[in-house]
Amino acid sequence: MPIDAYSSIDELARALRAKEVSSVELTRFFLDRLAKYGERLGAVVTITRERAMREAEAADRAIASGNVQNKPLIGIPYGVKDLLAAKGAPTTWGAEPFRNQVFDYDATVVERLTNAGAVLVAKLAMVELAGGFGYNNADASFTGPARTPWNMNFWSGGSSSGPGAAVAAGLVPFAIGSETSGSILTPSAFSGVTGLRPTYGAVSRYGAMALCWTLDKIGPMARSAADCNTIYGAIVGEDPRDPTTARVFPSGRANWVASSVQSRPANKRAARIGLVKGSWDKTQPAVRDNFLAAVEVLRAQGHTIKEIDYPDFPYGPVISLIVDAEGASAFEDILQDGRAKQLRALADRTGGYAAAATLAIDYLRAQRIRPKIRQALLKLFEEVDLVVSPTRSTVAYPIGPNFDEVYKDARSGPAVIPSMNLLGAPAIALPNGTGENGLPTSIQFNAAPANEMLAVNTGIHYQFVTKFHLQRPPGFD
Amino acid sequence: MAKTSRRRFLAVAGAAAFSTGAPGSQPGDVIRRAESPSLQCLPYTQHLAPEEVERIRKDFADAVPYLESFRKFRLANADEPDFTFHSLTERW
Repeated sequence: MPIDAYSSIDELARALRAKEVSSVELTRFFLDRLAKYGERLGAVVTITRERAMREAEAADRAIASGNVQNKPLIGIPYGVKDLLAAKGAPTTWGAEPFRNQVFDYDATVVERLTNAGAVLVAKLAMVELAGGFGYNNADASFTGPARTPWNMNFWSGGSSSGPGAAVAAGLVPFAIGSETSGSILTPSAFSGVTGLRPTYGAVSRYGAMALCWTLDKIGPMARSAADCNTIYGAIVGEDPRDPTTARVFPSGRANWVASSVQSRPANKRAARIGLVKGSWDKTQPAVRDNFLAAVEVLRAQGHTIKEIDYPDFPYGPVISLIVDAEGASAFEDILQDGRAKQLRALADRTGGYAAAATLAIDYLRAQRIRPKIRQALLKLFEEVDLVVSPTRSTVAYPIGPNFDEVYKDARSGPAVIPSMNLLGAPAIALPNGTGENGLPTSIQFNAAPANEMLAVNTGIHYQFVTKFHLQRPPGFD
Repeated sequence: MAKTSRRRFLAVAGAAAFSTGAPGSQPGDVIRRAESPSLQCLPYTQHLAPEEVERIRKDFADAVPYLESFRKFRLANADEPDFTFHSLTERW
């Protein structure tokens, strides 16, 4: 059977179980694509060929013996952002000082995907240290800038830059990214893929690089909301090795999450959608137009739409101080011994030192304001089920100039991404069209903590009608 | 996206840090604080060239206005930070 690089997880799973294709064939196919396009896109750090073939052979044996219960991803290749430990493979955190780092264990997420039958084919590029030292340019990884396949002169977004580019170009069927504040949603938007930022504490961070203990989250990036849902079901749930996961999604809930994709038509219900006032009127025109067109789709699907005033808080300073203080502490070793000066981006070489000057009293002030933010945003979620806005106010940034030198006329309005990360709320980013230079635009649905299923299901229904998630970048067939 | 980067917000915080303990300084008085920054609180400066230290100092000073809303946010004595210490725990 000819393999389509852009198949959904459901399609691949059906073909594998029907033995129309083997996992070994599928794995070889994606390994070849990674080898062919990975470097051009700046998307790949390490191709895990040996491990992949071993896991693919095991998957084929399991399929042949019919032993595929509780293995929703059996035989399906995937990649992970290179901040997740995978036994024996380099885990570089995108940064020169760590390019030879190797762990002798798998991160919980990798372990769970292995248990679900998935095949790890690549460690994918990322912005160095997940952007913790304040990078201001796309060239902020020791592997160079990752490119969006929609236009190779533009960045794929960060800090999960490799997952964005690799999924968008069909180098892997899905990938795992991470977000502290925007690092799943932004590359999903810039690369035209669907990304799910889970509730804080829903997915174990064991074996993941720590940037910011009170904000880091790990989640899927894939072709569709339905795919994200399937992947999420395999990785969500309590892990004794990560105390933040306690009681957020007990394992029973995880099963429900995983099974919900099977019953999605029955799950359809009208949501109360709140559009964040001021979030689209100063964006790039195509971002605005595509956003308003998406809103009309949601309205036609029976959802209640209203505009909402976003609570006014100093979201930017609060999240900055938290990331800076925790990030400087997490990487104090390389600040202390001077290895931070080996980082790629100019801003990163001094950014960590500046961050280390954050006063304890400022960090605590930020953490004391945070409950007020939570209270205000949870109150908002009493009025609406989903808080919706454009994911980004612009299309992808060009490679070369600093971020603050471009798109000077566009503004996002209220800081939805930082505020929802401070809350620990889940969100899904969905492609909703194209804008300048043929680059994708995106819409985000945010839900109250532990309500990702509402965001995901609304996304699945949205993608029943719109087909933006099925579009393919030119030149990567 | 707002044009103020996360780094600029950081820089603002640092500006306040530099002048901690300045005579007569008041909570929220960030502009006055930033007028005479020192670099006493910047650690590991042995790894920074003088021009890098100067750049950080300038970033801190430039970014002062962006911290205004943060500094002005009123907190009461009873407002606890968003994490809790547990003396007893079953797990850890």
